[in-house]
Amino acid sequence: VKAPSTGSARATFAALGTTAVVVVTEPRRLDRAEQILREVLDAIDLACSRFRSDSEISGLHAHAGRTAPASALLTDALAVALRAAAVTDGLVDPTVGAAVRAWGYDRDFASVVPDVALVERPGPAPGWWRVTVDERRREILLPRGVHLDLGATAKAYAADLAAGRAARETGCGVLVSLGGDVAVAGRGPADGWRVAVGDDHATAGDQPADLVTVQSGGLATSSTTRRTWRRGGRPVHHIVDPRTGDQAPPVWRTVSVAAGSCVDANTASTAAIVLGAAAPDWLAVRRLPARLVSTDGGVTTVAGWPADTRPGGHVQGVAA
Amino acid sequence: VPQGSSGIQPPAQAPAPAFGSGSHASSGGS
Repeated sequence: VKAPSTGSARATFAALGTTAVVVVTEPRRLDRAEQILREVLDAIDLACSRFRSDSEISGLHAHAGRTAPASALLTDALAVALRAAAVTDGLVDPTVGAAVRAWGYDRDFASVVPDVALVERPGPAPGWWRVTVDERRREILLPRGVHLDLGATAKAYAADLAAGRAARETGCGVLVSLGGDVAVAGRGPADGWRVAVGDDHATAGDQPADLVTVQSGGLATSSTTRRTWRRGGRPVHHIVDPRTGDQAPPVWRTVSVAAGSCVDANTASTAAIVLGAAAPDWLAVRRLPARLVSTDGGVTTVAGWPADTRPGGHVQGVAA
Repeated sequence: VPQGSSGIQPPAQAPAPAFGSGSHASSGGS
């Protein structure tokens, strides 16, 4: 990624199995902002990682069927995930954990086994409404047999949390990106934060891509071409339709959404992948600006997302 | 349609086109 045109400064490091980026408008505040981001990521990983046997969520699974005390962070992260499920009518559902594991995403992505037979065809998610969170008392009741996967929202929640905390503490504008899920807070650059939107967050800055500016809130991209592997000889990606337990339909390669927060952007982009062909209308009625790239590369923009500026890019717009 | 505090919050402003080169961050598949 080329150096930004403003007087900002950035730090990049590996975290949560992806790339973490923090950008500040005051270069001398970079170290503090990076420290805050690292603290938030360490805490989120320890609370929410289903790949760590010592994580709080692994302990919760071990105590399924009984009310268990939980940290403020896990309580909040689970409440955020349940809210995402409620506002999408279950298109994004944290109880999809067993299905995601059955498809083979049962360890840190770098260690996922490339291809073996699919042992058992996953079924529908048990349902987010079966999980009880008491936010005031910080207690969680996870029914037996329900496995949580907070992957869809916990990372975005961490981006919102870190950007907000760093902006408050440093007093400058802060952008946090976790694997391409972007949150901004504080007073940003005068012309907005410039974000390159592409199929792959690692190369979007180098490849021909949409270049947009955002002023506040969040921007997230969900993809069926990143984090892919094979099961039973069939290509598999990490987004499961909670209603069936099957892979989300191969309609969109990537969906990028802008919203009031990174969590809301990520919730909508994940829901759009699951919805498939119905996604543009679903996004438009919610006034969520979005850029959807079909599996054949055609670009659809929705609800005020700028028309594709790539040379040769062809656009099919959907009115808000 | 869920909106407001109980729904998915739209952005205060839609993304605007940016021209030229250089970006603060990238948003791609993850």
